[in-house]
Amino acid sequence: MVASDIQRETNGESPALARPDRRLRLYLYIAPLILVPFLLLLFAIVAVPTDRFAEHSGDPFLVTLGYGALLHGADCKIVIYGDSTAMIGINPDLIAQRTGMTTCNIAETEGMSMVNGTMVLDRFLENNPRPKFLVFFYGPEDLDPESQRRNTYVTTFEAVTWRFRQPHPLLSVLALMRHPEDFFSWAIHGARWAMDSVNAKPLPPETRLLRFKTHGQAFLKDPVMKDCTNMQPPAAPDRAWVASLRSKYAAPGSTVLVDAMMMPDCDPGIEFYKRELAGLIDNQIETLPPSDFHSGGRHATQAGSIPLSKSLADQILRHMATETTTGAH
Amino acid sequence: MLFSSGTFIFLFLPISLIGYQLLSYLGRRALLGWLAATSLFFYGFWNPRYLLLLAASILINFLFSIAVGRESSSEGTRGRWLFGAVAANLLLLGWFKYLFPLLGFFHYYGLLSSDYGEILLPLGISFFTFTQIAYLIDVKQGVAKRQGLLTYSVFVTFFPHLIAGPIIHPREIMPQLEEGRLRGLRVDDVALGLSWFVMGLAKKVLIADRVAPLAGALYTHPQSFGMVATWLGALCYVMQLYFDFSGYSDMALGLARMFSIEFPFNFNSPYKSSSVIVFWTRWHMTLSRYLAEYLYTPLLRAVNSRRMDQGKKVSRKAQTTPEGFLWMVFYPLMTTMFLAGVWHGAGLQFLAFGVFHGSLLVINHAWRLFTPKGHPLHAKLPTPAAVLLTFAGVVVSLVFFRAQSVSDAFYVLGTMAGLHGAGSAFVGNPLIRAIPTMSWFLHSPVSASVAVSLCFFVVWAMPNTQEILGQKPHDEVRLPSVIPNFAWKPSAVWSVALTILFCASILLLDANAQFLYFQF
Repeated sequence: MVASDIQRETNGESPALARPDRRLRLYLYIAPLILVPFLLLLFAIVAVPTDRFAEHSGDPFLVTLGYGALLHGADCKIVIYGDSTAMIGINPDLIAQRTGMTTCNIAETEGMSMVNGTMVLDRFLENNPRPKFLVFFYGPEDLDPESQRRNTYVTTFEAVTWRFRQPHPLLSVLALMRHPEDFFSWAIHGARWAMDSVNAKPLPPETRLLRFKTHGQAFLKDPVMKDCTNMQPPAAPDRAWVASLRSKYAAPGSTVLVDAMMMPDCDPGIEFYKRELAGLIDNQIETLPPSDFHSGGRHATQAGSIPLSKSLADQILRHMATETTTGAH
Repeated sequence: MLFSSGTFIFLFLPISLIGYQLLSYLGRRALLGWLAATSLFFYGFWNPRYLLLLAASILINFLFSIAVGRESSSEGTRGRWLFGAVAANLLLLGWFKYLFPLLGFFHYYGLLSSDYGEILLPLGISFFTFTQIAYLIDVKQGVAKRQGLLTYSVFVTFFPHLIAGPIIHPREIMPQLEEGRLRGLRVDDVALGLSWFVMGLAKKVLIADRVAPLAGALYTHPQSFGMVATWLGALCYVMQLYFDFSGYSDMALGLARMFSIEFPFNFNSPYKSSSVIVFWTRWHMTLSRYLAEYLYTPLLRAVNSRRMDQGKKVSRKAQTTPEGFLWMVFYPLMTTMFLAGVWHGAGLQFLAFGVFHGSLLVINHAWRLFTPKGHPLHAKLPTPAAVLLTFAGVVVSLVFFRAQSVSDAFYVLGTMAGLHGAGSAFVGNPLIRAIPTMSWFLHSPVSASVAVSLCFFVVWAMPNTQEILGQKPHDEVRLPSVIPNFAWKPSAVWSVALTILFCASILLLDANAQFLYFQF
């Protein structure tokens, strides 16, 4: 039925408005339909950031979220901040062993950079002595965090959860409205997850200490990579964003490095990144065999973590040598 | 922005409605301005670059409409302007929708050395182009009144129909945008519209998106599926497409209704059709109507007038002669359905879909003409058998519609016909194991069959949305169903039931699930 039908029924006039008693009934009819869905969002805001949800979620990353922001007075001469390629791949103990400097890996998932920028790092720097080396370490495509909004493998769930664990949740809602889909996806997914996890067994209490035991390195249980099929399409770096990291964190006595993760040697994007990142980053695009990566080709296995961490340690040693030489002059 | 996204449901829609109500005190122009602004924002949210394309298309067509509708111009001049305008619209559509796939096709077969790559198809381009062509033709024929730019912009962009229809006629919408008709929100329309929206959302999220993974897996790797899995996957797609697109249409009708604007129906229980002719009057009804009015009827008129000029008859009896059937039935039908297929996309599989349906329609018309009412053959085909036969034809056609190529479609049909044997087992197939847990029932053939059977129950035994909502015109009878008196009313029970349905749908929203008709 369309306009012509209305006209037919009302002799050309607009339909009459509902009577007051009927209007009241209609308002009462509509009220739950409008309000209850909003209560679902509220439920997510209240339930998802809680410790109870994290412990019953079955996701160890939720329990150890914002590790760097939890440290106070930590002795970290080398600090690694970046995405999950750093969090999984960089072994701080190995770097400390090789360089002789205490090392902390406070990297988070890529979603954290997309949603919260460097808030975790800033919180770390507020509560801890300034490191001698601050290394920003990202997967090559994550050097433009916004480009990863198209990557369906990148989730912002942990990042939004962390944001809501901070004071003033209303401010967090407002801040998240820059990309409202982050908030709504989080709330909807979180509400469902929270309902599902009511009867789930909690994670063992020691899960909370996992990153503290390894100085920040986390581990994956994903299968090992077999070949380079279904790799993510390459994304050009955001040069302004990389430059902003250097300028924002430059400080006397502290060296800022921006590095990109190694790639599987069969990755079709190698040449692209070698070309695009030349001169922009402080290391070079190096490769490892696929067997040193988990499926997806970005997260190093424990075996792959060794050459990766050694390479970063050697890069820092070279910098130290250069600085010593420069100082001698 | 998707109707089935949190951003739309919790942010865009409430702001649009509240703003509309607040601006209602400032009059019609303020309301039209608000509808145009929110609709353009809705479109630009997807990709702001294409907002410029939409705005340019509206402006140029508006200028064309002035030339086409100028009463001081001669009929010939107006006709030439109309021809130019339609050609410009089709060129734009051709550039974005057909040129690059066609060049890619030639390159693939070695007819072109360069690969021109792909171009991002502007969302809803087929829909807003068709809407504007209809307006220009109606203005030329004097069916539609020429409108101001603001009213015209709202007619084209009003967000409930902008991306995937229904394809609206100016004569349906323009009167509703006139002075005195737009006057803010009406609580009865909001109640009805919201209920309609929730029912559509539930169709999309609770049914279409849940059965979609099996269909997706089948058509991505048809060779990896055995006979049982292929049948189930093909039926899942048939259900997915119906619940996805009819759900979208319900949402569109409900959203428009919240603003007290009525859209034409787009679906009317098509799978209950007892013939392909009836199917096309109930499936994507506004596209069928568009094709009938602007393509099929003009073609048939041209044929008839040529025949009359030649002294030939144009009666029903004349259609039963081979020559009459060829020109008055076969030619206009096949041409229309060929173009209907092409409208869906540049792939050969869409062309095959159109030609296949054209053939079915031709056969159906032959049956109608050569076995008139009371013919003994009719008794041999009872209605349930006719419904099944029609549905079987639809299943086959949708294999072409969904497959990535014609050869894939034939492979799927071959598996369904048993030409490839039983094939690999359902249980243990890694592609089926990879189906997300939200569609857990697709992991086993038994529970998948139960799910598909439930879908069959809904499409064959339940009343459709407009029947439940009491929106069918009074002179139209309800189609058969097991609960013929099932009717919505704004009561506490319905409020609670729809709130539960709404919350369940929201909880299962998937940010990555697109509407199938967005690609057209």
